[in-house]
Amino acid sequence: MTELWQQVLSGLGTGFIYASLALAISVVYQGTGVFNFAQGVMATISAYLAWTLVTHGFPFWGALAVVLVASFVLGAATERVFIRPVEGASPLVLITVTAGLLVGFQALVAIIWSEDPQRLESPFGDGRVSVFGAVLTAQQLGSAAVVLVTLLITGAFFRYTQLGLRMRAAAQNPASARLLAIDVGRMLALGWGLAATVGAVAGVVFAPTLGISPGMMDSSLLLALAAATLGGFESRAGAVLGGLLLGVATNLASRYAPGIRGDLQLVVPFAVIFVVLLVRPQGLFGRLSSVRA
Amino acid sequence: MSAATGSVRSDATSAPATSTTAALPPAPRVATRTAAWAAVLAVVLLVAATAPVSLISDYQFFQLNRVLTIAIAIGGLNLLLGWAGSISAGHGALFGLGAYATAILVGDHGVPWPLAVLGSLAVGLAVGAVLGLPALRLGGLNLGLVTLAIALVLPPVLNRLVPLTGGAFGKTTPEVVPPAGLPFSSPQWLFLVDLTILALVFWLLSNMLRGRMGRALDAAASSRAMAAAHAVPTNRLTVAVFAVSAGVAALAGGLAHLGARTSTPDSYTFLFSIALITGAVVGGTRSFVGALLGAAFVVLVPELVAGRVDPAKAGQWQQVAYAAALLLVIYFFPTGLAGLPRTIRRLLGRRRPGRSLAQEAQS
Repeated sequence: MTELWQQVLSGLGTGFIYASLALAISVVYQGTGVFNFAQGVMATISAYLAWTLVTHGFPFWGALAVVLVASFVLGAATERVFIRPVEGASPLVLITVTAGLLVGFQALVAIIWSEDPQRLESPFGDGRVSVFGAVLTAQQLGSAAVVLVTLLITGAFFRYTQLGLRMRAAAQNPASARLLAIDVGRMLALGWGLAATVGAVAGVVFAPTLGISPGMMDSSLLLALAAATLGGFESRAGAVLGGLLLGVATNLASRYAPGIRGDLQLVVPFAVIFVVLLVRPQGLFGRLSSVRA
Repeated sequence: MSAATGSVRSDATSAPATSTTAALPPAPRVATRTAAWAAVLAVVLLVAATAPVSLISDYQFFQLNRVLTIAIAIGGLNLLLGWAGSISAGHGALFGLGAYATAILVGDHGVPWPLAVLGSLAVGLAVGAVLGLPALRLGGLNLGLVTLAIALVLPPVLNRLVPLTGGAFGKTTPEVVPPAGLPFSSPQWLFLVDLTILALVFWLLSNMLRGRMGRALDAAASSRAMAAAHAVPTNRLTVAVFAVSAGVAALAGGLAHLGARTSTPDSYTFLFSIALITGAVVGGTRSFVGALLGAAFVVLVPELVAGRVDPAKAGQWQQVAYAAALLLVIYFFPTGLAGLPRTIRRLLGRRRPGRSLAQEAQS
C-alpha cells in the first residue's frame, strides 16, 4: 500500500511537467487554433539559457527570473516572425509550420550548446521529506510546488485581469473582439509569450530531474499532448488535470505493467490519445460545438 | 446517424483546409496523358537498361533508388496534405514499418522479395485503417496527434522487440539478385523495379484522385459538414484515404529496405517523418511530379550539407536546412516546385497579385 502511495505521489510530481506544458499548448491552441509541436523544444531552450546563466555564476532563482522574461520575448517573437505570415491559414498549414519550428529549434539548440547532456544542480538541496509514509526528494516536492504556483497565477491571470479577459475574448471570437477594439494580433503574440513562459518554468525547475539535452522535452511533449487531449484542448484546467493524471498513469504503468519501462512508457500517452479520440474526442472538459457549413 | 449532425470542434475546422477545384489545372484527357507517361517510362527504362555501366555508378543508382522510394512515400503523403487536408507526422514510421515487414519476411521466413513487398503494403493498409479510426469524428488534426505518437513510439518499440527486429543493430537481408540472364547489377535491377512501381502507384493514385473520390476529398477538405450534407461518406473517406496513404508509405519502405539492405530503428525517427513532409511541401503537395522533385530534395540536402560544415554537426545543419526549406516554401511558394512554372507565368503575365496558399485557404 505504501508502495502504491509512493508511486502515485512521484507520478504526480512528474505530472506537473506535463501539466504545465499542456497548459501552454492549450493557451496557444485557444488563440491560434492549432497545437504547437514546438512547445517542448521552446522549454528546452529556456532550460539551456538557465544553465548558461548558472554556469556563469548567477544564482538559480535569479537565472530563473531572467529566463522567464527571455522566454516570454522568445515566445512572442516566434508568433510574430513565424506564425504571423500564415495567421488565419488552415490548421494544416499552421501545424506544418510548428513541426518545422520543432525540427529547426532542436537542431539549433544542438548546434549552439552541443548534444552532450548537461547537469543543473537542484536549488532545493538533496534533502528528503516523508509524506504519510512515502518518501519524496526535496527537488520533487519543491519543483511541484513552484509549478503549482505558476499554474494558479496563470489561471488567476486569465480569470481576474482585464488583459486576461481580452485574451480570452480574442481567442474565442476574433471578429467580435476586433469590434471591441481589441488588438487580436497582439493578444495572439501575448498568448504565445505567456505559453512559452509557463513552459519555461517547467523546463528550468525540472531540469535537475530531466537532465539538460536537446531532446529532454521530447517525451514530455507527447505526454503533454496526450494530457491536453484527455482534458480537452479548450479547457486550461482540463489540460492541467490531464497532465497530473498522465503523470500518475505512466508511473504506475512502468511500475506494475510488465514490459513497459524506460522509453517504452511512451506507449501510455499513445494509448490515451488513441482511446480518448475514439471514445470522447472533445476530452473530459472540452465542449462540443456544432458548425454551420 | 449522418455525419452532418455530428459535432465538430468549431475552431479546428472553421477554416477550409485547401483551396478547391479553382486551383486545379483543367482535367487533361486521361488516355493521352497516361500514354505519354507510359512512353516516357519506357524510354527511361530502355536507356537505363542499355546505358553503359560506367555512365552511372552503382552508388548513384543506390541514391536514385532512394529518391524513387522516398518519392513513392511522398506521393502517399500528398493524399493527406494535398487532398484530404490532414497531416501525418508519422509517415516516416509507417515507412519504417514497411521496411521491417519486408526485412522480417525476407530475412526470417525466406519469402521472395516481391511477395514481401506486397506484405509491407498489406501491413501498411491495416495499420493505417486502425490509426485512421480516431480521426473519424473530428477529422484532420487528430491524425496529427496520433501520427506524432506513432512516430515517437515506433523507434523504442523496434529497439525493444529484439527477437523480431534484431534490436538496435536492426535487420540485414541478402542482396536482391537480378533474374538470371539479365546483365544488371543489383542496384540497376532495383532501379528498374522501383521506377516501374512508382509509375504504377502514381498512375493508380492520380486516376483515383481525378474521379469521384478526388472531388469528394476536395469537398470534404473545404467543409466536412457541407460534404456530408451532399452525401459524401466523410467518415469512410477519411479512414480509406489514410489507409491507402499509409499502405503506399509502407510499400515504399519495403522497397527502400531492399535497396539499403539494412534497417535500424534510428533510420525511422520523427525527423525522417518531418523530412518527408518537407519533401512533400517543397515539391508541391498536389503534384506527383512534385513528389519526385521533393524526394530528390530530401536525398540531396545531406549531400549538399555534408561538405560545407563541421562533420560532427552535419546532422544538425541538415535538420536546419529541412526546417528552413519547409518554412520558406510555405511562406513564399505555397504550391512548391511543381507550381513554380505557373507562379512565374502568372507573375510575368497578367500581373495579378499573387495569392498564397494561406490566403486562398482563408477565402
